[in-house]
Amino acid sequence: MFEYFLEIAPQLGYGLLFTLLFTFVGMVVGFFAAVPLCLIRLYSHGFLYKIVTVYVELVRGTPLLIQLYMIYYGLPKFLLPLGITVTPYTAAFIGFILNSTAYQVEYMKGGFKAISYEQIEAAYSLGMSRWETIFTILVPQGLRFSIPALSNELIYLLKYTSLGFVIQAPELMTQAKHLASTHARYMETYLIVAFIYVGLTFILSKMSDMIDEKLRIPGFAPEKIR
Amino acid sequence: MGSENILTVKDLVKEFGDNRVLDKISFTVKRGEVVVIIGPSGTGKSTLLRCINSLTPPDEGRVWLDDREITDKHSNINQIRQDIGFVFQHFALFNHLSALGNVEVGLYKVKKMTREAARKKAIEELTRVGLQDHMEKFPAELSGGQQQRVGIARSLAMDPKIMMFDEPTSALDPELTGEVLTVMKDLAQAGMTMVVVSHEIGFARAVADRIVFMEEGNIVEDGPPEEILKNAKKARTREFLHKITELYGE
Amino acid sequence: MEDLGQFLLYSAIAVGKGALVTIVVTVASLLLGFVLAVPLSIGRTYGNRPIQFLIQLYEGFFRGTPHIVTLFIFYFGLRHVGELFGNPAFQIAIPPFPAAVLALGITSSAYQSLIFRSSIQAISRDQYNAARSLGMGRWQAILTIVFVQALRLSIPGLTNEATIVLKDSPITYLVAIPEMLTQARGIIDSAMGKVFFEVLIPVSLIYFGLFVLSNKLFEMLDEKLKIPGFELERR
Repeated sequence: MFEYFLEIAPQLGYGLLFTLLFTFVGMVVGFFAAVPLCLIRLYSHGFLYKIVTVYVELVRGTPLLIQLYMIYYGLPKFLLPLGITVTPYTAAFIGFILNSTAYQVEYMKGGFKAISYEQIEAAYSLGMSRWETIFTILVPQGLRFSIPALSNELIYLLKYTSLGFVIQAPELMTQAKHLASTHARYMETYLIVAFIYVGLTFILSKMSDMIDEKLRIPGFAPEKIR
Repeated sequence: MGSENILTVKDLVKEFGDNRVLDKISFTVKRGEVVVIIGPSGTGKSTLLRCINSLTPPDEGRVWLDDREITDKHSNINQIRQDIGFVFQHFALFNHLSALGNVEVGLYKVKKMTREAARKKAIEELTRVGLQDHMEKFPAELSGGQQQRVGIARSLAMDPKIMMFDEPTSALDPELTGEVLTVMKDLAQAGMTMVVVSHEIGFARAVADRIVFMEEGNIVEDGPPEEILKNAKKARTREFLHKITELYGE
Repeated sequence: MEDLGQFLLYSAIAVGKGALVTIVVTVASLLLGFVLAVPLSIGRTYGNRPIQFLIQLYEGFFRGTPHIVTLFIFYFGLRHVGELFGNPAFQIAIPPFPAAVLALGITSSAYQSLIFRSSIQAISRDQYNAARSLGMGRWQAILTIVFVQALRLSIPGLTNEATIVLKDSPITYLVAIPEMLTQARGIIDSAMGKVFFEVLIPVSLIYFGLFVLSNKLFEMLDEKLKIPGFELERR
């Protein structure tokens, strides 16, 4: 099995690169998009709030697979007439970003809700305005409280990039399928790939533990399940 | 300049659903006075304080700080709040900031001081409440009494005209109430105008200029400590004091 | 126009059948996951070192591997498992439905095990001690006192897990399970690609409806099984 692994390692590496790329881009862009959306969800009412809520609920309530499918096979119907082609990469990026953003909004919301209401009152009683309170007191704490959930999201996202296979995005899973059928060595290929994912998950998990340690607010250790 | 009443409350009404928590409350506080408000739990004492600085806007009634009307929609509430210090029962410290950070933040964010000036003043205030050795600690690393003193320092740093205390020692273990009450006594002796909601009758007897007894959204009686504590006019006041002194062993 | 009517009717029936299959696959996988997770979580909390280690490996592998990979291992991989031993003719050919339920179910068991474990840990050790001091045996105490409460506590986590399995079920189209995505693709192909969003949007809405329904069912379950004073924070 080991020689086989060496043989296919280059292609796997290529796929792995894309897996990581999709994961990190999805996560980072999702994060920066989620922060303002989350603030809207928590602190505003009216039209913007409704749109954000509908978006978050729909994306979280439907399968990612279907979302990717609709983007890759459906978007071209609108964009092709305009001369824009939708490549697997693009569709994958769009799909993962839209999906991760929605989940991150929800996780951040949980983080913000953990802040005691009295702190908001204290900020107001010092004379801070609404936005000053939000940015000086709520955002620093809310984001820190969200870190456990967000690091979970990162790991989930890594595994869900495997759905890129369905739209032929060149990530790890796609490579696996090609290699397996090309070499007619299914079990080995899939097992190897499984172990790669497990290894990545493990590394990411350790990394996020470290980050969590560094950014923790003293006295607010999250519950660890060992 | 200005009248001798620093705080004027007129006909304040607040309802939560069917519950009339404040029923046309009116009273005034003179400059330098220390007023202690006592009464059974849930009778609106906390709500009264929160209505005064509009954390919970009242349904009806008007409130003035000096000659500025807090309840006027056109007044700048954030500016007025800088002049009213508020100390919370559960301290309400900002958990992501150190003690020093908590006291500084109002100074450079709201009063727009420079960071150095803010830091200097914050250190002064923390020293004033006896916490000069704990400035870098975070709220979770401080005892309840220390946290509350940070809360007091935070409000004092804004140089308010009046300080309001919402049951400042109720959430503290008995051994820790002393340190907070001492700070409050010093403050009173230094001439600060204070409105304190509390069960600490000993504190009221020693420091208050007036004691106000509230029950079911109304002010039942209002007078100097000797009068209220020894010879209360109303039966309900006497009943309540009797219960409280039994409980607190005064 | 008649063709359109017929087309709509057949499509609706197809999607309806697909929805049924989706539900069956989801429920079966969840049940399998549950049945496996109970001993796993108990073993991980109360078992001896070797058992804990093995379960840890199991959890680590199935939580760390994407569903799609697990599915392929069970369906395609096992068909060719002989290659590992140099005997290509040897196959473990699992039909699509069991393969799908196995893959989703075993993966779910790894996550459910974690959910149960954190609930078990949340039940204070004193309860276990109290049960033992009444004279209950080890397993009796664990099962009747601790685990029963842990199950109650796990309901929010299970609610979440149920929706996750539901949203993962479409990958089974890759092994030709006739669930909603398969049906949708069939309709799109037979209409020569002239309909796309017209099919997928209703299908998405049905998934969303099932998602809402699942949450509601668990909420009702939670209500029924409430222990006064131990309500969990919702939302």
